[in-house]
Amino acid sequence: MGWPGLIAGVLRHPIFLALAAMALAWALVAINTDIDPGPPEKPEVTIVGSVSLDFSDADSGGVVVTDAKSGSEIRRYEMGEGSFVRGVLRTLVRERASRDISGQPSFQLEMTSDGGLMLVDDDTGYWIALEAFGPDNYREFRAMFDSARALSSQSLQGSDQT
Amino acid sequence: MFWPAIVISITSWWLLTGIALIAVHQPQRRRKAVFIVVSLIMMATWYVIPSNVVDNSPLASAVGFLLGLLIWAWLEISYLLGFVTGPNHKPCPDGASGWQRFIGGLGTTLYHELAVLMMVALLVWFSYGSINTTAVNTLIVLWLMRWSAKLNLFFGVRHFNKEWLPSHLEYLVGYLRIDRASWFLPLTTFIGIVATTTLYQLGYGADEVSQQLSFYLVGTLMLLATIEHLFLMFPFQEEVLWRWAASDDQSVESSSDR
Repeated sequence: MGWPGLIAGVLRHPIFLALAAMALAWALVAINTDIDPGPPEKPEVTIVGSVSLDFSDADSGGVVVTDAKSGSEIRRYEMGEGSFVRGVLRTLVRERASRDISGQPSFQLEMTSDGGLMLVDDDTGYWIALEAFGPDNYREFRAMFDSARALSSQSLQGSDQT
Repeated sequence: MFWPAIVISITSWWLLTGIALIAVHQPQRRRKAVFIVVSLIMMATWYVIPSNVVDNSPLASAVGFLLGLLIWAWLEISYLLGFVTGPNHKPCPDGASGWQRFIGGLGTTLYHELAVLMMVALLVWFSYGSINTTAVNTLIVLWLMRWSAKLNLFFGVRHFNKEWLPSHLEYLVGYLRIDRASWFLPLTTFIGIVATTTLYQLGYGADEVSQQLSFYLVGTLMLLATIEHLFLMFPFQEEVLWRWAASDDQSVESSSDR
């Protein structure tokens, strides 16, 4: 048996085939590890205002949104309500879970100079541009933003008076 | 990640089983060297474990699977080489009752089983509350399915390839029942099938690629362990799979140096 025969013999050997299949599978896993892109780059926009919102689970499947600064409740979704808000939260929370960040999430709701809203998780760097999901969904978050702003201006006035 | 998991699981199982068979069929003069090599590998494994359990990437899942297999390989090889066995090295006395056979059989492997429990406990401790539990899940599947297989060998199986036992452990055969299967064999095989489907379902429903891979790897291992239970029920001639590792020449060599 010459060299070609020997090489063909090695290539056909079950152990070689197993090792080749194994190398291919590990390569696929390694590629999948490398393409985890991390958070997307934030767009070049001017942030004109920002509020901190805490999101917590209420009893029987509800979600409570509170203004992080004052601690007052802004919005409450009962079970079955606010599916868009829940979807947005789930996307951000999934990234927290994959980084082993526990605790109730607190996100920044930022308003850009052209009136757009972004929900930002400073812990993971992930963010979602909310106007991209249609006016109804945008309004939902816009209402939260306005309530939180109103609360903070109230507390500002309050501190002015004292 | 289903197909990579299947391929990694099956090829690792096949190759590592073969390497373990080669290792334990080495002649007496080489056994110590083999034991030192696998012990060094085992220590390196424990060195990697702490960084692996906190890494949530698909690669970390695959590496965790391999780490679990390597810890198991040390347990298995140290036993089959005769370094970690038990207080009892005598063949089973003729006419022993079931209970005597159980105690005697347990005595042949007691230190090994305690080592298994210790390593499982240590890995559970390392992995508790960590994000990547692939290594500990792998080890737990190997541990439970091996105990199930051993209990089956005690209660009774229809088929067992005793030629694979190294010659210095041939006295173990007396503690086994190889004439007929007990009720325990179909029961444990069924539990194995249920566990396999559960693990595959968890993999299918997992959000993340790394979790998916982790469950598919451990699920496939559970599938292979279940198939090994079937080997105890029917003569599949599965020894063909590892003839390259435990050839007749080697068993002749090892039986001559008794």
